[in-house]
Amino acid sequence: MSDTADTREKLVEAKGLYKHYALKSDKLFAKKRYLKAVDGVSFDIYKGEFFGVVGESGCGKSTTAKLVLDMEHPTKGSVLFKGKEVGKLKPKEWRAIRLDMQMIFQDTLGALDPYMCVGKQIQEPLEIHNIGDPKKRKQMVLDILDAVSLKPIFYDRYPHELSGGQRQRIVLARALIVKPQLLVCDEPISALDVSIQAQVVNLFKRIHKELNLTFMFISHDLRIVKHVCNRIIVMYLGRVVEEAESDELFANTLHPYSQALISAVPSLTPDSQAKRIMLHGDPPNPIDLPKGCRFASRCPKCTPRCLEAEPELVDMGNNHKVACFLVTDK
Amino acid sequence: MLHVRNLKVDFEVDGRKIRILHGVDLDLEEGETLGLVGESGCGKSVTCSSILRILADNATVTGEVMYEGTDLLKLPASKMETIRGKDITMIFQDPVVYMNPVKTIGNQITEVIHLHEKCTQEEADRKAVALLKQVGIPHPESRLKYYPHQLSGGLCQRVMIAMALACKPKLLMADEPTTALDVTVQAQILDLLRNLNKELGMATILVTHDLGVIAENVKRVMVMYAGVVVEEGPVDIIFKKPSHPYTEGLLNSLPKMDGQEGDLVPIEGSVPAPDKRPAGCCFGPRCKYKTAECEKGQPKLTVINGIHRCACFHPVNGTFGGEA
Amino acid sequence: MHLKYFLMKTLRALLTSLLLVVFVFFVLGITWDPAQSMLPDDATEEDMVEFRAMWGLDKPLIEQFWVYCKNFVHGDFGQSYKDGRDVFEIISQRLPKTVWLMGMSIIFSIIFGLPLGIYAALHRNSFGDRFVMGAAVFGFSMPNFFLGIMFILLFSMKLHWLPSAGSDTWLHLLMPMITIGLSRMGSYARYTRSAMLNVLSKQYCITAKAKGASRKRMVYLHALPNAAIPIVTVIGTSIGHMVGGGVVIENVFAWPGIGRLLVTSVAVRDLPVVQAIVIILGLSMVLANLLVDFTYGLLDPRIRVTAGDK
Repeated sequence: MSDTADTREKLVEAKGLYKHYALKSDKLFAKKRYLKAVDGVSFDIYKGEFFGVVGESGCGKSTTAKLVLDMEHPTKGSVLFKGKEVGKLKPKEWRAIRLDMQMIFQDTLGALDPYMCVGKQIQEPLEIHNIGDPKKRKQMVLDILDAVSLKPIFYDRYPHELSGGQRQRIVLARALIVKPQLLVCDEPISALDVSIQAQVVNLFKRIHKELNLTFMFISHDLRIVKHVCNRIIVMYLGRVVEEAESDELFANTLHPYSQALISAVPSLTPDSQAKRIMLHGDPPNPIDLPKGCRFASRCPKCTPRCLEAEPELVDMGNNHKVACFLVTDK
Repeated sequence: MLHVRNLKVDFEVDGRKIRILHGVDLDLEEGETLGLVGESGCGKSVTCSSILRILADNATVTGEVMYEGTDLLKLPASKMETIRGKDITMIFQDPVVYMNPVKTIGNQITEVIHLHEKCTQEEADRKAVALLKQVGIPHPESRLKYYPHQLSGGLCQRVMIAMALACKPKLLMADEPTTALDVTVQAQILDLLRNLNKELGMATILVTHDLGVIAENVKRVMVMYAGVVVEEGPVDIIFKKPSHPYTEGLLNSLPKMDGQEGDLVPIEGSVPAPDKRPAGCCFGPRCKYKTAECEKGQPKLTVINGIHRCACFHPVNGTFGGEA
Repeated sequence: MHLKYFLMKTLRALLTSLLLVVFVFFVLGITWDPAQSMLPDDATEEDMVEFRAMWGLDKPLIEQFWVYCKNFVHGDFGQSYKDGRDVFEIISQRLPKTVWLMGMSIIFSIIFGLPLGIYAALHRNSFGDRFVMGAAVFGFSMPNFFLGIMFILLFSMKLHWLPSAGSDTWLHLLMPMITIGLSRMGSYARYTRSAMLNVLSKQYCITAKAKGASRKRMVYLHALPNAAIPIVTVIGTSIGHMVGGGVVIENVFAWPGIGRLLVTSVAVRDLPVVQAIVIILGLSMVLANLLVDFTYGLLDPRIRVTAGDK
C-alpha cells in the first residue's frame, strides 16, 4: 500500500497549517489570548480520493476546510493546490483555481438565494466565469440536474419549495457545473433526515466514481464517514491525532481518542453499550491549552509523560499515522 | 400509569387547520422506558408536548391523556401546573437555548423546587447542589452562580436534567436530549439517563431520530411516520425482524459500522408535508411493497405477535442483521 | 463585575464628548462671524476690530479654542454677546425646566407605552392588539408640533381647561408632556410588543411552562427580563432624540427651557449661548447612550460575565 500511495498525484498539500484567532480579553491589560482553531495540521489529499475529516465540535475541521479553500488565511503554513501555493496566487490564477475547488455546506437554505429560481442559481457560476453561450448554459444546467437525479421541472423552482434533500442536490449541482477537481463538503448531510441521508450519500458516491472527483468530506457522523471515505484524519482540538485508510482506521484504531469516538457511536444491536469507552467532560475550548498532549485531560490511558510533551504524528507503517506516545513509543 | 388514546393535534396556520398527529395511542407502565423514533415532522416531539400541554396557543389537542386515572387534557390550567415539573417533566434538544440566559443556574433549579414544594431558599439551594452532584457536575456549589452561557452544551443538558429531577418526577420525557451534543458527550448523557432511570425508578420516554440511541437505551419502541404510529414493540424484536416497510427501510438505509460494501439502500422520495398527505396509507407513495389495497385507507395497528404491533396491510417479514 | 466593560464605555463616551465640543466649536467658529451679525449694518471697520478684540475673536481659532476649553472645564461658557450675562447662569436657569419636561414625558410614555406593548403581545391579533398598534402608529407618525397646536386649540382656546403657555403649574406641564409623550409612547408600545413576542417564542419560555410555572410567572419572570434588554436600548436612544425634538414643542407651548432659548439665541446670533446649548444637546445624547450601555451590561449577564470567567 505505502508505495502505491506515493505514486499517486497529490491534489492538495496542507503544510503545517496554523489558524489562531485573537480573543477579546476580559481584563484591561491582560496578555492577548488566542483561540487555536487549527494548530499544526499537515495532510495530503490525493487525486480521486474520498478524504474524510472527523472530529467533534471545536476540533478545527471546518476551519481546516476554509484554509484549504483559501476562504481564511492561515496564521502560519501553506496550502498547495496542484503544486501551487493557494495564498500566493495572482488574481487571475486564483480565479481559475476557484473553479477547480468547489464547496458545499450544511445549511442549504442559507446557501441559496431565496428570490432566484434554482436553475438560474446553478447557471450563475457559468455566467460569472463566461463559460458557454446562454443556450449551451441552459443545456448544461439540465444535464447537471439529471446528474444529481432531479427532473428538469426543478429548473424553475424556488429554494423554499424544495425539501432539504432536494436543496442539497441543487447546491451540489451548482458546485459541479463548473467541473471542479476538488469538492469540499462540510457536514453536507447532517441536516437531512435519516431516510434522505442515504439517498444523498449514494449520490456522492456515484458522482465520485463517475466524475473522478476528489472529495474532502467533513463530518462528525462516523457511520457515514466510514461508509464513504477511503482515507480519514481524526482531529482533536486543532490537531490531527490519527490518519489512516478507512478500513485500517476502523479495524485497527490506535489513538485512544479515536477509539473512544468510534466506540461512542450507538450500535444498532439492542443492549450493547457494554464495551463503550466513556470519556469524561466535554471537548475543551482550544484556548490556552496546557503543555503536553491536548487529549490528556480526557484520556483514560494518560501517563505522566503525556502531560509533559506533545506527541507528533508518527507513521506506524501501512500509511497509518498516529500522535500518541502510548502507541509510538512501543 | 399513562394511557394516551386517540391523540390528535391540529395546528392553525394562516387560518387553516393542519393536522400533525392522527390519533396516537400510547401506554406506559411505571418505571418503563419507551422509545419514540421517527424523522423530523413525524410528530414524536408533538406527542410529548401535548401530553404535558406545553404546545403553542395555535394548537388544538383532542383525545385522552389518562395519567393515574385523570385526563390531563381536561384538567384546568392551574391543576396542570402542579403536575408539570413535578410528576411529569421534560428535557429538550438544545439545552443552551432552553435555559433562560439572564438567570443563574441556581436560580433556575431552585425555581422548580419553590414552585412545587414549600421550603426556604437555603433548603432549595442545598437541594440544587445535591441535584447537580447527582447529575455529575463538578464543583456544584460554585456552579449555582453561573449563567448558562458559561457552561458547555453537555453541562447545560446535565443542568436541565437536574431541573427535571428536582421534584422526583414519575415520568421524564427526553426530547432528542443528545442531538445537539457531540458523540462522546452523547454517550455520557445517555449513560446518566439510564442510571438515573434505574436509581429513581421513574418512567422515561426517549424521543430521538437516532435508531442507534433507541437500540441501546430502551426496551420498547414506537416508530412514528407522518403523525401515525406505524410500528410498536420490543426493541430486540423490531431491530431484528421489523414488520413495517418503513422501519425496515430506515434500518437498512443506515451504513453499518461493521463493514458493509456497496451502496446504501435508501427509502425513495421524501416525507409528505402535513398538508399534502397521500390518500390511504401515509407511507404508500414511498413503499416498495405498495398494492392497490394500500390506497384504501390508513391501516390500523394490529397485533403481529404479543405486544409487537404494526400498522400495515402487508406486514413484511423483514430481516435486519444488526451489527456487532 | 465587568469593570473593563464599564470603563471602556465611559472612555468612549468621554472621547465622543470631546470630539463633539471640537466639532461644534470649529464649525460655528468658521461659519459664523459674530462681529458681522451682532453689530449694526452701518458699523465701521474699527467697530468690528474693537468688537473682535473685546471678545478675543482676533486671535487664531486654535488659541480661541484653547481658551474656550480652559474656561469650559471651569464651568465658564463665556458671556452672552447680547446682554453680557454669564452663559452658564442663563443656561442653568433654563436647563432644569427642560430636564423636568423631558423627564416627565419619558416617565409618561414608559408608564403607558410598556404595559400597552405587553398587553398587545399577550393578546396578539386580538381586537385590543390591533387597536393599540393602530393608535401607536397614529401616535408616532403625527408630527408633534401639529398635535401640540391641536391641543392648544381644543383645550386652551375652546374648552379653556388648560393654560397654553408657561411652566408655572402642573397644569402647564400637562399638554407639552402628553404631546412629546404620545409619539414616544407609540414607538415604545410597538418595540415592547415585538420584543415580547420574540422572547415569548424562545425555547426557555417552554422550559418555564414545563417546570409548572403559571403563564403570569412565565411572562413576567422569564420573558420580561429578556425583553427588557432591547427595550432599554430603544428608550435610551430615544431620550437623546427627545431632548432635540423638545426644541419645537418648547416653542409651541412657550416653555422656558433651553429649546426655546436656543431659538431666541439663534435669532439674535448669540454665538456663546448657541454653542453651549448645542454642546449640551450633544452631551445629553452621549450620556443617554452611556446609560443604555450601562443598563445593558447590568441586564445581560452575557455582557457582564464572559465564558472564561470563574
